[in-house]
Amino acid sequence: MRVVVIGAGVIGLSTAFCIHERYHSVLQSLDVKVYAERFTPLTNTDVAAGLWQPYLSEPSNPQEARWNQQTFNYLLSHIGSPNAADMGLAPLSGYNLFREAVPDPYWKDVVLGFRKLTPRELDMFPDYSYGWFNTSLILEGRKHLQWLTERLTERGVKFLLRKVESFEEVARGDADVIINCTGVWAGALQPDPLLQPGRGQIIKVAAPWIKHFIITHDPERGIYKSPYIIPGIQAVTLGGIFQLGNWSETNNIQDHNTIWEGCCRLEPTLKDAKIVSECTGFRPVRPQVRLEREQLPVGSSNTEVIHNYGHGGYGLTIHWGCALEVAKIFGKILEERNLLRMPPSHL
Amino acid sequence: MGTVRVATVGAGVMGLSTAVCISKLVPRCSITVISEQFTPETTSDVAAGMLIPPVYPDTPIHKQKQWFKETFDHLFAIANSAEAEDAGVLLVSGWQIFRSIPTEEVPFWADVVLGFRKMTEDELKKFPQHVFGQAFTTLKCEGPAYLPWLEKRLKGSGGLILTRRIEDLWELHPSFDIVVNCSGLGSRQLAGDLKIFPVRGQVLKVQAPWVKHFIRDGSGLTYIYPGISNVTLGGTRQKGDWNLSPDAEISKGILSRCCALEPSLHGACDIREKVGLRPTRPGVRLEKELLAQGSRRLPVVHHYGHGSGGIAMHWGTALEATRLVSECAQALRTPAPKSKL
Repeated sequence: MRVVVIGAGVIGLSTAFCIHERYHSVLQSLDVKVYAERFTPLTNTDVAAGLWQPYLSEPSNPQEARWNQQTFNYLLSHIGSPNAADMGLAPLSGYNLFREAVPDPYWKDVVLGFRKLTPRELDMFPDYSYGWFNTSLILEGRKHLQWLTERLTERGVKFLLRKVESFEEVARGDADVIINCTGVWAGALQPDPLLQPGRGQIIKVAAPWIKHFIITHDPERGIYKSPYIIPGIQAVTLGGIFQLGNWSETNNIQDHNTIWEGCCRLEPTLKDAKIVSECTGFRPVRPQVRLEREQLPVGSSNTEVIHNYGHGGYGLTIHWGCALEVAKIFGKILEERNLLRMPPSHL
Repeated sequence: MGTVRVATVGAGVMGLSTAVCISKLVPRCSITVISEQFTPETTSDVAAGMLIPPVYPDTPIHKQKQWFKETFDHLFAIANSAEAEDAGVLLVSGWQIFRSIPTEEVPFWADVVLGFRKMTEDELKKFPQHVFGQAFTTLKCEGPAYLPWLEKRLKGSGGLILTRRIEDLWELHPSFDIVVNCSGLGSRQLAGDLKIFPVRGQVLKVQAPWVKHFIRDGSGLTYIYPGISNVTLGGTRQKGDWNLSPDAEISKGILSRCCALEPSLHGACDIREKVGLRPTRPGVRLEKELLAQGSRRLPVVHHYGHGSGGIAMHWGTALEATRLVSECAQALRTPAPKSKL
């Protein structure tokens, strides 16, 4: 069984890992390769701050809520492992701020210690009058990709720097099953009018006195268009940019100013913080994640493609639940082809 | 009497904060801080500086709460301002956990810190050996940044700083009119106070920047306090032990106990050992004393003995010490029958 995963962001690597973990011992042979044009630190995952937090409104596909929760619980089970920091994983608490009262989010019982902010806490944020406090997790994109790369390499998974032009080319060459984790660039392999870039720009600063995330919300402007501050392991990510349809990969000075002014107003202690880096990424925005099987006729047979892309600004938040789902679909393919030596009882 | 000349003995958090308060609040006085040790060599530099107060058996609870609240409010304002980084003050959230249900589930300071509540069952799962916990957000005030910040403010208001070891408070007479004694353990000698004794604390300062929460065992013996540039792991409470040299076995024990609470600390590096002697007393000594020798008089305000609660209580007690200095200054300025003093 030859599997090719296209894409080496968190979706591609975690899916490769999940499949290998679950099936390498139940298959005669399992060969997994990752093809990608960009590897860490050049993927969109590397730009993401990595805070586990879904969007506030319920997803149009209820499965996504379940995948988010599975991801949180999976990551939480690794807190308490000596390796957590190597994985890029740590608990992180913080504030969600609003200008008026809002209903509790559907994930309030997934995170830990969810509560409303007290008046004295709100005093710290004069522009906001309502908010939440909870303990969540941070999964730093870059560190996690490095960790996944090491784990995959240990398992004999090969990585190839390759620009894939079509599924056919991969099918004819190498693959029985293709996992399409091409994120925001999926349209190049198969047109998808539902997929758009949600351009984001972030500034990373050295501000090690900041130990909490602070995320503001402005329902009129939309998600990620309001300042946010998310401390990572070494640096603090400042953001607040979300531009649908903008493919510009260069940092923009107006966006820089928007982020800087918004975050300094929110957190005056940032005034003299040193800027470490600044980058741009593209959230793969879609009304819902495309996670489904497709059979492509190639030559005289069918090649299985499992799509797993379109995770918007919540890729790290949902990645493991999606990887598990892809693994399930993969298992079904194996069953259909009578390839399993024993049933995958642990699924 | 023109300018009242005040000398503060000691340049830890008590000496410097009292000097700053006096320079701001007592009119027409000059202030000089005299000390043998300055930052980063003081006890205040070793302390993690977490605002989680101890209980002083000899001090009424309402007074302790007042001191803690005044300190918290003072530092909270700094933590939310552009001074935060310079002053070494930050907000930290975390958990205090107990192996058995404590008699006092809600301590006197619960409504001074932010967001105080009991930990949920899910939160306690992270600590299988513990059955009860409190979650809250408090402040951390770091000596190595805070003390220089206080020194800068003091100098800005015209205060002076002198390096000198004082063997006897009378050395300050007649150059100074009022002495504020913030000498901590030095008061055994300077004030003949045998009630004050060291409680030795050894800590490790490590690099573990992924740790963003504090974790404190309710016993107070084991704690993990993330700071601006390192994480403090502790600790010990060794009564009557004056030894300032770190003990390697103790360091191993601290690391082991902290890793049990937070296994990711196995990856901590650049481990530095530090020792501080907490100036411990059944209660803080905060009172006036008029020293007399022949015809010489020297008003002294004692301000020491905060044990493990120095940083947590410092501003509140400094304000009170300043009120006492003000009273002494008033008395000196009043041309009155001297016997009243």
